[in-house]
Amino acid sequence: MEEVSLGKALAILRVYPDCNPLPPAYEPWREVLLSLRERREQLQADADIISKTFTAIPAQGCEMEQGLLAGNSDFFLVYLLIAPFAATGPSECLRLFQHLNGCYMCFEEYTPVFRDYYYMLQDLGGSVPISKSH
Amino acid sequence: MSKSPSLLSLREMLRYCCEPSSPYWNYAWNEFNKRYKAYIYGSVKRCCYAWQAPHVKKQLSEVVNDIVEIVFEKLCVDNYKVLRGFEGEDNEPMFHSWLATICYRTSNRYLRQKWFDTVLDEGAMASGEGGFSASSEFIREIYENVVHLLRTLPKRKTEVRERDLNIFLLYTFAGFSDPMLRASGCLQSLGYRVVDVVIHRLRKELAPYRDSF
Repeated sequence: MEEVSLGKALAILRVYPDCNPLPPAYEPWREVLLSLRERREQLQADADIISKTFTAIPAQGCEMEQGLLAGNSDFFLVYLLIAPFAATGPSECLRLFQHLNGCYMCFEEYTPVFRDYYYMLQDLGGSVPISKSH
Repeated sequence: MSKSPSLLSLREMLRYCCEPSSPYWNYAWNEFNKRYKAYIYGSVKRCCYAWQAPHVKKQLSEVVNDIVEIVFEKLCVDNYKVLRGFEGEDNEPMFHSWLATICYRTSNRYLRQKWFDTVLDEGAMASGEGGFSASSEFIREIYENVVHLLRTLPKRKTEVRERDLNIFLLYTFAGFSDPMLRASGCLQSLGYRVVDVVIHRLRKELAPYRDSF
């Protein structure tokens, strides 16, 4: 079985937050899913995690060789699984918009993860929770 | 002028190519094509492959032919101004690298504009001609140019400008659909038809800048 991508794994975690039970089709990915679940719980334990995650995003482009979002599962855990329930604020969103617009490296990292997440969520019949409007 | 055209040196060949009144003009161009046409095709093809863009893969031979035609036009326009500009005399390697540079620049400009057209054109995007090409440095250049331009165009509140720009980039460069855009935490509360309006408006604002790509 192919390896599960981060986007797909996050969609599965969205629909099956406890991984228990897990449909047989996703059993081969249990280990990855459990480790992401554990990480999500660690991150959720920090009340300021959303603010911290977004503050860490540079307002402009990344100055490193690799984009900040490269392999950054913490960011996606927060943005896709933790923040939607707590509602991402306008200043956090502005930060993310500015960074993705100004950093092609991170744009390239962000889009496949989000695309996989979205399509997997559709396949699983999951929905996107509505947060406060801004 | 008793020399056989096939024995023309590079210097002579270029000189005759730039003199339509010369009896050797036709011979010189035939010789030019014999010696360099395949090289020009090869150089252009390499650039097209480097782009790895869907529209290039789809019609590669057509695109290559178009670009080669432009390269020849470029060499001949304004009374062969560009061809006359080669200063390497009889230096074959230098002429090859000079030709390769012209092919590279012409190809890049052509491909950039073609790709940019798909950013501006819903029809081309829907037919799959546009699309995300993660490995292409050129796409990055266009992306950065688009961002730079749209950030300097009509002033809007920073929040709105950056949000709209993000919608536009995800839609055009990554092929995100309206529902996909709304699935993101930061865009889920967008009003009805906002995506359509934003894409239409930003395309309109970018269109006059096509030539700068």
